[in-house]
Amino acid sequence: MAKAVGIDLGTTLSEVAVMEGGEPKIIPSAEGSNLVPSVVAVSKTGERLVGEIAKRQAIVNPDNTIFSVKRLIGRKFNDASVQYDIKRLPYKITAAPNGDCRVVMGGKEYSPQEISALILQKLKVDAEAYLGEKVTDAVITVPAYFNDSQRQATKDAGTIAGFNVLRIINEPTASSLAYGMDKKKDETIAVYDFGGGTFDISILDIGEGTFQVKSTNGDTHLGGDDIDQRIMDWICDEFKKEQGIDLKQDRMALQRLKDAAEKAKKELSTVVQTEINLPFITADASGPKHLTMTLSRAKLEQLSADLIERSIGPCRQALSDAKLTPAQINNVILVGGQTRMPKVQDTLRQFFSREPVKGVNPDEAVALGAAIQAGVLKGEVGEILLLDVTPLTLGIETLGGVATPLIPRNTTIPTSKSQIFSTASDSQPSVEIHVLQGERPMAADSRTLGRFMLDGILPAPRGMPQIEVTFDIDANGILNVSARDKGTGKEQKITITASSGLSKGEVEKMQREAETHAAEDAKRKEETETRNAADNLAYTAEKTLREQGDKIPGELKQEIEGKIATVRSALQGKDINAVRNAVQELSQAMQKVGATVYGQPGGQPPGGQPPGGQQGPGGEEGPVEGEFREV
Amino acid sequence: MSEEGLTNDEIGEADVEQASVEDIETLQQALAEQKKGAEKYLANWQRAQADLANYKKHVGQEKQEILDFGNSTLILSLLPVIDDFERAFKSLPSELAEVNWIEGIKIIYNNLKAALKKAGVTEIEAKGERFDPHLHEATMSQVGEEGVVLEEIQKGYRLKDRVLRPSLVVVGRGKEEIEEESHGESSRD
Repeated sequence: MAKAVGIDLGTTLSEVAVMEGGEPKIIPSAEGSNLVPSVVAVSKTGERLVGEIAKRQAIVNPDNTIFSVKRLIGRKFNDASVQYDIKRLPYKITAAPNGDCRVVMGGKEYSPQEISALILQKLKVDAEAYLGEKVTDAVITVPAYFNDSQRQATKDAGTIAGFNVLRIINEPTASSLAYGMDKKKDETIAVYDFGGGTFDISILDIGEGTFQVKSTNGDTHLGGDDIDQRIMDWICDEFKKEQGIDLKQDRMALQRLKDAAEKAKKELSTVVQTEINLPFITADASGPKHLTMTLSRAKLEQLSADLIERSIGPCRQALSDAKLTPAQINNVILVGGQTRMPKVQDTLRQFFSREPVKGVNPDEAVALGAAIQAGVLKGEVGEILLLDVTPLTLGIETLGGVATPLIPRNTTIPTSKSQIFSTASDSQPSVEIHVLQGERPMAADSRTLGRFMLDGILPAPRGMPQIEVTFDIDANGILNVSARDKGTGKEQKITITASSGLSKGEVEKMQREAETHAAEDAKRKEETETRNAADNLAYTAEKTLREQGDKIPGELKQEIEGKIATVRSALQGKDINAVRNAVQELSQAMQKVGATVYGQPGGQPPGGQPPGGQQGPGGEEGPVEGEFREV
Repeated sequence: MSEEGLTNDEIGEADVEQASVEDIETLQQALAEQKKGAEKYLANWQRAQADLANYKKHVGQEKQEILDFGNSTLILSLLPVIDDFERAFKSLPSELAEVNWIEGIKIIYNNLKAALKKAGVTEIEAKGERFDPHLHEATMSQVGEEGVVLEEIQKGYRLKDRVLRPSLVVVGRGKEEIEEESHGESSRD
């Protein structure tokens, strides 16, 4: 089944998103950006340009570059707002016989729907390139205040672009979906959308997955760009005071100032002070001039205070239209890049007396929500499959009481995992599989889910038998653990149905415990690992002496035997440092063996891996990742 | 075998027949339901598999993208530094031009450019070329050969085959203009 996309068709910028692996994701444009300028043009050579490319040539081709067409779509030519915009837009707007607007581009008349369709078409082509398949179904967003004719016109634009428009939804509804508000019951929320050029506030009622816009308000000419302008003005004024030069007369300098102002504004959302450094910004008779200034967050807030305050009036109006007080709003969600500014959040916190909800990229919320809606509409055809995760890590106990994880927590189920283990001592006849649950690294601190024996292991040196342990959790959370001796084919298994029998509180308690004990657990685990490594080294040294004894001078042999004894006795004791020292001495002595044996013709590497790939001290490779404790 | 018994037998057979017809119907219905269910599961399973395959493909693409363009943000933030160097050299006072110390700074600048070049960064040609919005961004227009880049205000760069930052340019708009030209058209927002 082809994928359905969600589209945020904005006044200045548009975005497209799709559900991928159960999560909405913005599709990057062919130019590698998430945002596509809502600009369409016909170049002097007759080439049709859309997006970033169209925007870049707007200055030299103003008559044939159409932007902000969203201000015209579905409106009549005589509409007051259209008459207002005609004065501000550089391209030609005419009246169609039916009273609609037409725009002129490349000497031809186009309806706003056709222009919007060109933007949608670009998004479609980019989405198809990204997804590698045809895309036809789409959900497109419109402002909550759009009337029927504006909605119909937007839908028509989608159809012209070759989309099957599944639904036209409100931008604040889409944002609410992106914030997961559809899961709430009987709530009233405010969607505060402060973008680059426009500001919208909407009050929504949510109940049983339905959204109802109770009221909407805003300011179509208030946005983050105004704040950038304030910063630029401030920099220019300061520079003029210091140097007596008006940068506003210098186009090159202005371009650099604009970039610097926007960058400074963004930085001040995370830091309280930023440097603006523009060397060689201009020059006079005395030589080059550098611009170096410090802009503090407090200063920025002072510069933009009235602009932010201007957004509160519409909020008040929207609430009064909905016949609500700020306290009756259950959630305030943030949309639009400007809401990253701490001052905006503070202002809202004060006005609504509650913490605004964050967590979704405010630039992407509308498109992401549209993608979720598209996914839901397509999902109605098939059944939505809910996948669960294991809340806690599952594993088995290995040598020294270590809990070795097989399935880490938060793994999506159903799933299965196999790992090869081996024996801990020579001729070990059986292994015990102790199935554990929990986040602590030691078996004693984990919860026992069950245990069983696998016996009949043929006599063999330790590390040689290969025991394959398989954990399998089905969709219902039932855990099957099996152990199979790969040599004899003998198998034992256990089914644990209570693996998910923990209450949510218990799960949280176990996770919390793991966090609080993390440091001491790590120490204990390290000690066990040191002990295991010491035991392993002693074993390997004994084996080397046995196999290579004839090549080792008697004196060295005695030295090593002595040091093996030291390691063994240190292992009996509790002093971990004694173990470490003994290990170090023994491994140094073993290196002498290496030198001796390699010095002789036909020598084999001493202390090599025993058959079956015994894990070396601290090593992480090889098929054996753990050993069973002796039973 | 008595008459009665025979009758009983017949009744029994009829019952059995009746019962098995019902059984068969129930079974057929159950089978049909199971078949439908199985088809649905198969379809969902296939879809899940396809989703996963597609997802893997995307992750692969994204990895490649990260390998190729992951450092573009860093490079973009370094380009203004290159611009600053160039501005500094452009306004270098003649009495300093011969100073050996300045020569050292120029070498530093060249080393920085060489490092970027090695990362795949190349300059975009602008001045004298035909204006191409795929590579250039017009900041103003002036009297001059129409559609030709008259001046480069800020150098543009490519990273591999992608435009990292378009050149900021002044574009000619022919000779028909009558008004004062030095400042070109004002920018729109």
